[in-house]
Amino acid sequence: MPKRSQKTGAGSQKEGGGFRVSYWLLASGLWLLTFASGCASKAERAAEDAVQAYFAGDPARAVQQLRPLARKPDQNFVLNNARLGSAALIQYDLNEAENAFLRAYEVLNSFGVNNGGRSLGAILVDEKIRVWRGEPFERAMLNFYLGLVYYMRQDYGNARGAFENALFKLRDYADDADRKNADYNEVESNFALAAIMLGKCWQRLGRDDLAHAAFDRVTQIRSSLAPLADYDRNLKSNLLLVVDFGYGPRKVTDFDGAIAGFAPQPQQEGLIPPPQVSVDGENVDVTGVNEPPIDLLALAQDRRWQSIDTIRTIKSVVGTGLIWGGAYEATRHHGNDGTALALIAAGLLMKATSQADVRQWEMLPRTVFLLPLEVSPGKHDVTVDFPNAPGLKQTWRGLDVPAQGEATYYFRMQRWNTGPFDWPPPAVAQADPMQ
Amino acid sequence: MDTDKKRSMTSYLRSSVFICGSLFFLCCGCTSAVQSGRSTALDSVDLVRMTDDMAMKIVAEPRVQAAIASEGQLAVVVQPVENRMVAEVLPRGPAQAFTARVRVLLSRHAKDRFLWVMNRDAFYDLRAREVDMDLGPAPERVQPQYALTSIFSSLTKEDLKRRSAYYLCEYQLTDLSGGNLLWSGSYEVKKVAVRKFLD
Repeated sequence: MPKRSQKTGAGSQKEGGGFRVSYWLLASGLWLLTFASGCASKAERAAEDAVQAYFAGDPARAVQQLRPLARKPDQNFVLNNARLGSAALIQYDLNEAENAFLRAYEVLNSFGVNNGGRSLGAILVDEKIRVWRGEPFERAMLNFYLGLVYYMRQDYGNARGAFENALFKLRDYADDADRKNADYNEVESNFALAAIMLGKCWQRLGRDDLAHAAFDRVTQIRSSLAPLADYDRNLKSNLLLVVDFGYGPRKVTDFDGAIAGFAPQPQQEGLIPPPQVSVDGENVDVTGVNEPPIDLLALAQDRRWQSIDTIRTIKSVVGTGLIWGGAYEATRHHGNDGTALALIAAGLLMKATSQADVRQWEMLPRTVFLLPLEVSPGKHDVTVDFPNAPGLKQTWRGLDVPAQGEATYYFRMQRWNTGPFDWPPPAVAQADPMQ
Repeated sequence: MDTDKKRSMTSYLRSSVFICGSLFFLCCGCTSAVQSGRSTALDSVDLVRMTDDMAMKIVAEPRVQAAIASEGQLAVVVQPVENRMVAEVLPRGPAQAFTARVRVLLSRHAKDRFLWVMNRDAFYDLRAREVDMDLGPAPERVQPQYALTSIFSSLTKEDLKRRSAYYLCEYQLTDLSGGNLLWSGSYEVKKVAVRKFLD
């Protein structure tokens, strides 16, 4: 009775073939894994540190660490520029924020960025080899922030362009019904945030007809936003507070890391609390306008299944099958060790290269409140408070409010970022010494 | 036996070379994030074509030649491009470049026919930066007679398959005293970018 250890001539030849295959697979697996995991490198660790610094309320350190990373046109180019833009915006470093968002915008508006080796690498080796372009909601938010930077600078022509582009990016969520409807009303309705800002831009550009059309559209889509999309209220506003609240969805994986999704669900996190605003210690009535125009937790649940998801899932299933096959071969009475090893190695390789890409723009808020206010011109101390979310409060002293036009201020609500801060912040004072 | 060993070693080496080679080509095939993409935005080719064309048309315009003949050198101020494009951003640098290059071409090829005046905002900004005291208004500043302005418009569409943009870039030389249009020219271009795998 031949035993596993007893080698016949034919068996030896067969085994030799098996070992050759296994050697080949193990060697390639080793290389591919080294290649894939070795790239989770110094740069990625530096980016992680920067994100931690951002969450810890130290945007200056985040900017410092992200600046060199954002110049490297690698697979994280768009992501690092988006991160840098977010950190720079907290500091009111509008030049840095504009440049960062603009670099990311240019790549996001291009197609075929991953042509050639990157597509092949993403399929065969690791999805992270592809240039990160984010989910449609992340692309839309990047355009929104670029528009916000221009709006803060009162460059309404470019702000309008960026907000329009933000609405375009949401079209990736379109289903068949939406595609038949050339207006893409359904998908764009989920991004009332950009639609309202678009209306405000048209208003500032003196195109009342288009401003009315934009505001009316917001009201038709979501009647609860009618006070926020009120033409007269926005016309009279000379102080716009843009308040980022909470944190956006986290990309998570399932099914052995092959399927990506977003968590938490909006219902898990509860309702978004309304903000309260006080100017010079006096509460300002923001009833109606304190409605959140967007919930990114809800928007992220619309994630579209892509071809790369199918490829990954198939690889994972085949990988599992190969491992089981190898295990069976190894335990089989007349099994061949070489073949078993080869199957297990191939299976492990398939599993290792079928991991979903979980890179994401971590700094995104859950929602962005737009609070158009009419206050007396001059300098004011402004506080935004969330009484239903203890510890979330931010105060700025000496904000300039003009008699004509509208000044826009950005508040990023974070527990370690309550202030009080003095206006102008160093970045603004440096850029405009006359302030 | 030795021959067998050699043969098996050669085979292993071949496999290794194949694997390393494949990886090498895979790595080399990875272009940078800004190399491969194709967008519908106006680019440097459009800048050169458009501004060459506009500069030639301005000089060749009979009404411009008549104005030069009657008034002498035309004092012209140049404004950055006004962005009216749908879903397109035109940052300050490129917005200035699209009219500044027309000025550069004209000042090189028709330097005796145009006097270029700095635009007012840029002039006062420069004075505020470079002079320590507030000098107030500057009535001695050369007053421009004409303004070279430009408006870029576009019809942009984006769906799940492609993004397309049709651009109309209008240039105008306007008489600042009466508001009459001395010359206008335009450049039109259509651009399409098709989505690829992983876009």
